[in-house]
Amino acid sequence: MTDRPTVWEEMPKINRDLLSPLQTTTWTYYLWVGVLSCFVAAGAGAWTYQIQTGIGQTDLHHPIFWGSYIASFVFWIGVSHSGTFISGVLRLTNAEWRRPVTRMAELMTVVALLVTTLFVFYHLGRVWRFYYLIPYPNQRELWPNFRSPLMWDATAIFTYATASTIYIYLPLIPDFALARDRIQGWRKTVYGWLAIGWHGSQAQWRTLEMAIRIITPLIVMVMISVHSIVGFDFSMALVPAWHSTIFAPYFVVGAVHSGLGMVVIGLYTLRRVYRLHEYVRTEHFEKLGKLLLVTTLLLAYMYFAEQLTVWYGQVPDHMAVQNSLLYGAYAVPFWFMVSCIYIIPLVTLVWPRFRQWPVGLMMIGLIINLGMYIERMLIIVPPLARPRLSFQWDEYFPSLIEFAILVGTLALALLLYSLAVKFVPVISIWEEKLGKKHAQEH
Amino acid sequence: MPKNTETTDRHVVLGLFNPATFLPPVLEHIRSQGIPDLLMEILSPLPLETSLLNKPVRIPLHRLTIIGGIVGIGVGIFFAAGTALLFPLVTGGKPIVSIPVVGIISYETMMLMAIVVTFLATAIKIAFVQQSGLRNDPRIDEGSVGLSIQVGNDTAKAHTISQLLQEAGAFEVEIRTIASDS
Repeated sequence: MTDRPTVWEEMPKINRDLLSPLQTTTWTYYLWVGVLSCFVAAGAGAWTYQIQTGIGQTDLHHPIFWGSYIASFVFWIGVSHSGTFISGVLRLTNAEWRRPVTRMAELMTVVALLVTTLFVFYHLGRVWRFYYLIPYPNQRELWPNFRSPLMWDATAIFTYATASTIYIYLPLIPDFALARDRIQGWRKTVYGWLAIGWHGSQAQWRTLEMAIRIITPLIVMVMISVHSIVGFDFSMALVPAWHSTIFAPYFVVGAVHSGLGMVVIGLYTLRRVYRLHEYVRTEHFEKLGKLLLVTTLLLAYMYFAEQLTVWYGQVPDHMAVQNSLLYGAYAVPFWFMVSCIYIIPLVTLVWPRFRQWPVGLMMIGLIINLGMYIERMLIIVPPLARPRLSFQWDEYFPSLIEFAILVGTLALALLLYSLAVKFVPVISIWEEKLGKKHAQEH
Repeated sequence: MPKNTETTDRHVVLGLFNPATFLPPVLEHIRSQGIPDLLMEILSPLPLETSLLNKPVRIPLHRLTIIGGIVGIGVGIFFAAGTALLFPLVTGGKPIVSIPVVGIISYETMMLMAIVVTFLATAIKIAFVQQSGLRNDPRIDEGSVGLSIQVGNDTAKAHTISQLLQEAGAFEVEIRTIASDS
């Protein structure tokens, strides 16, 4: 008989600490949920109005038929890469520090994917015909056109949404069982269903670990394919500034960049609200800061390579778009975007002391996401606003209805996330225990 | 000494141990009572690094993943190539069946089916392929290790195992009786 390992003694405290967000709710939480619900209701009202009166309520017009909804779709798909990247890639590389971060990031993935799907529906002029996207033959025995990249997108996003839900659910099973035994009321019943008879037997652990080991590389491959296909939505079109081979990898890296930024924001907020300082430490922010620095450099390199190639070629159709960005109608948002996603992160994150400052990191996360949203708009709008025939050139700015829907959807994402953290432990409890055990052993 | 009576009810003995207890000798003792590894199960709040029980794996999960993936490729080929062939509509001189498109769609459906099949197999294994009478004890998640043993309908054996577990250092032993009609 040897001395009891410390991690076993710590388990009751870990359970208590990490289940406490599920057990205690303050009035500020209800207020926050109430405010968000009002914004969601406003957004829903705006969408209802758009459905009633038509897509003409937006500023979409010839030749700019893709605008804020598609930009938001691309942006939120990017955010959804947070969970898969943090959880999947770091799990594959056996990075121990990932443990307190993964669940928060995975939750973000699921919420972001739900929100992403909404933008497809907002963009449909006749949303009641959404079922045209489902692969089944219509009355004339015609199937959806799988040769269209938009159908690739629908397939990829369905795969990604399903796989991400499974990927967050599997490691949750032991935590649901833990909650089932400690939380009363209606939630106990739900946790009981979701725990699917988990007892912590070695056979169950072995099965779970094997499943996670199999699914992790698969979901990383799905993650890369999904954003590549979102990139193909643009690059397959012969539109100046879209028809580029770099789009697929550029979209993947951009998605990881904004996803990581969003994870930092979530991590900081949850740590502060639920006092998780013991679990989410400065080292986690520092590591995320380093990852953000890598994605900043990688994204900047790709963007520079793309723009330099266009500039050196001086093809008039392509230059019309580039000139509108560099010093034309879109110069202000372009340079603001460059500052937000390249310059500011680069000059701050290179400093080790800055990376150890959680508030600073959170602000960088906000700035990056603001910049990435503008970047999505600038990928979509200027090339459409500068078609080959110059008499068709036009401008676009989102209408009030579009703004109301965008804000309402952002509120919905925050609301769903806020509700989720009351139902799901924000840190994977058993993985945290396992991490501590590994730390003590080595 | 308890009476050696055989009933139609089944007994499950659960012993709770301090995690530092060295379990292999305890398991050896239980095996010597004629109880095979298949009727034993170790419960813990964390996966144990070494497998203490010898239980055969019936169907490896990865094989099901591969089967799911192959089915997924078939689904993808049907959607991308089959549906185009069902209604061959020539558009802009493009081929009816586009190989890159078939590749992309099949890749996605392969991943989808592989992941879904893996998940379903995992859920079924966790939910149903378990020792009957196994019940979660919240104290296990608080930092204990449980040893659950099925002893069938032999009450005397259940008590012998219970005593054996106590002698081996279990801080609590519980005999649960499961009615035969349950």
